[in-house]
Amino acid sequence: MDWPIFLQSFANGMLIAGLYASVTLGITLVLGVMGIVNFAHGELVMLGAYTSYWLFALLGVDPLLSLPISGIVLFLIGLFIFRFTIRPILNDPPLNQLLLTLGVSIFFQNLAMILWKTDSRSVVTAYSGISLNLGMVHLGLTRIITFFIAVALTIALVIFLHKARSGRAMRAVSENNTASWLIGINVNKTYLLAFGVASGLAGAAGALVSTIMYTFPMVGFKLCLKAFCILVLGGLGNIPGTLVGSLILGLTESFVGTYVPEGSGWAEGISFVLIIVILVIKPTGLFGTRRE
Amino acid sequence: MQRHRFSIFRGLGVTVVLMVLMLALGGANVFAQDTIKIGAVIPLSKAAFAQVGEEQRRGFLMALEEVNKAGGLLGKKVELIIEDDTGEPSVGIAGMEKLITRDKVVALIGGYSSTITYAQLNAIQRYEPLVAWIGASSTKVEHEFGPKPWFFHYHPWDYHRQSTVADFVAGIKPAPKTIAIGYEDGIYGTTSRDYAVKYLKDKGFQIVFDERFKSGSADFTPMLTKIKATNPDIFYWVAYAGDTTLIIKQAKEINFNPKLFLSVAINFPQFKDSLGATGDYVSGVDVWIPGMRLPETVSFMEKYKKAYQDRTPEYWTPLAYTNFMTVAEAIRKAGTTEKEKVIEALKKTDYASPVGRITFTKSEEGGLYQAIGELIITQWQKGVSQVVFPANKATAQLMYPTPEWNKR
Repeated sequence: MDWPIFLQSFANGMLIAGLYASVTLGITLVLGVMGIVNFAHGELVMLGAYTSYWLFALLGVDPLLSLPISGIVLFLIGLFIFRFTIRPILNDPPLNQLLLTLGVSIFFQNLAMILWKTDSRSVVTAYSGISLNLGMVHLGLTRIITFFIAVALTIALVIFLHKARSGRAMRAVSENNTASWLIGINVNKTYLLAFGVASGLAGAAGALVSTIMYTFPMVGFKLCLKAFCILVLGGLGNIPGTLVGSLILGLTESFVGTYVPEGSGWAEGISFVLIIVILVIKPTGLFGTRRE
Repeated sequence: MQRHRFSIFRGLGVTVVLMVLMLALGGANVFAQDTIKIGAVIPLSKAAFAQVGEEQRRGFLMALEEVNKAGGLLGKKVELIIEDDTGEPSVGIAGMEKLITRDKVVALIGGYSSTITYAQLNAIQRYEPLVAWIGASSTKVEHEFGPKPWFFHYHPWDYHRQSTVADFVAGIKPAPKTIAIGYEDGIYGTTSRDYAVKYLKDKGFQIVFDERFKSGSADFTPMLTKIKATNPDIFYWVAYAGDTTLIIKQAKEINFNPKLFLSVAINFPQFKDSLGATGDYVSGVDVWIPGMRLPETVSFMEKYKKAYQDRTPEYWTPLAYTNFMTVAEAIRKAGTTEKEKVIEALKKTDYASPVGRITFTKSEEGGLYQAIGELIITQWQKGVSQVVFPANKATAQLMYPTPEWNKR
């Protein structure tokens, strides 16, 4: 075994997993609380990336500083999207909801193409491209930061859901919305807040995307597809599962890319192979319980 | 249940209204008949491709404005209808069919991906339309459609690029010995790779890595880690713009230090913005750069700067401009929009373009009408793209070997 290569590809997988997790968190939250598969989440990430990019390009704000700003901007956009598109169809059949979020997704992709054209834009900071040498392994500084931010966001979300009153309300609603309503929880308001928080998380993830990848109208959609693989892996709507699912996908992609002959081509498709395998063998995901 | 059915019907109703509206708007074209129509199919909405589509659009629009300002063609205004192929062969085919059968364009121009071009030409060859194409560099397209009397091709074919690359690396001193090749898994990457391997082996190079990757990946570090372990003198990769930016960034992150980073078409506008000093020393084979010293290039750049102040074009913009201008010239010379006569006129093209003199000659593997066959190698040096090969076009010396990342 060639240890430097093994450790390097392990580290590569961990770091990309951080990005995947940050993108998936919001989808998990919306799915867990409202039972809606939000295909437009990728576009919220994309809008977050553009917010971060423009703050950087026009005002010179560092993407790590603008991360909370794009989080807040997307939180507000999320409230708006919820009020005018999601809320009217909350009681509709799942297929309608799915088509609606897909429609919202396509709308924002095309809006972005019209507003900002299809050039891929990149944020270059003083520290981007800095590489840390940890003995046998070299790691990009921005990717390390991204990884820790993603972990921090997950922890913050878990604390919010367990400690904050509104967070606990979200958990109650996700268990049983009728019972929650009976004991006096404002279900609609909880949905609104959950969607807003999920969009805010997308905004933060977008800021990360703008630093380690590039900003582009379709950038979110591709990540969103990977996020669905992670959802399936981790069990639908399950937050610790999201983190583990991201690690599994990131590491699998990395090891396949490094060790399998012609692996770089296969790595991109592996997420879909995983979806199929999991759905066939354990449809509830690795950590999921059956949802009624 | 009743409620659900109602909302589905409501949704259907809205869709029908929208479709009627779209038809009505599309139908408006019917009334604008007194124009000469040229149709372009370019990619405007796929991650790795769209940048090139935008480049082409700018070139077409510059040419269109110029022609129409000078009074149009044959006393009519020229209308350019642009279709987005979205990076999907099926959409590209539909776009072409629409331009041929509904818009009845005189010529089809534009194009980018070889995969899409192949599918498109296959589907529409029964119409035998005039296709003056700047896309597709894969010889699969040349073998199949090069011999067609209605197909004019501007972009160099793969072997033009790869033979230039092989000639270039064979001339580097001190002589490199090993080379790692990574290539995207579409027709563009795979055919480029086949020719590159053939020419490089002929020159005595040892190929230490030879694998494909998926264009549009978020992470190239696994592949780069693997290549780093083979310790090549030269890392050569064939990819699209978005991939190239990430590959260079991530090569730095994992401290991968070949003596030369060599790729294809690295003079896209965001290269410098996205990479800054990280992009220095990277070389690539290219068709054209704005810093070339032809008089037509200089005057083209003046016009370009007026239209798009803050941008630097890559070769697709002047190539698209040339594409449109040569077709317009052919229509003017033919004195009609009749296909056969325009084709005859296009065959006799001799046009001093910003990318060099354009005439159509036979190409090596069966093409009847090939415009460009000669390429250049450029290198980023202190944020400026310089021509380093061939010697007669060079604007600077090649900087070789590339210093390691931590010694820059």
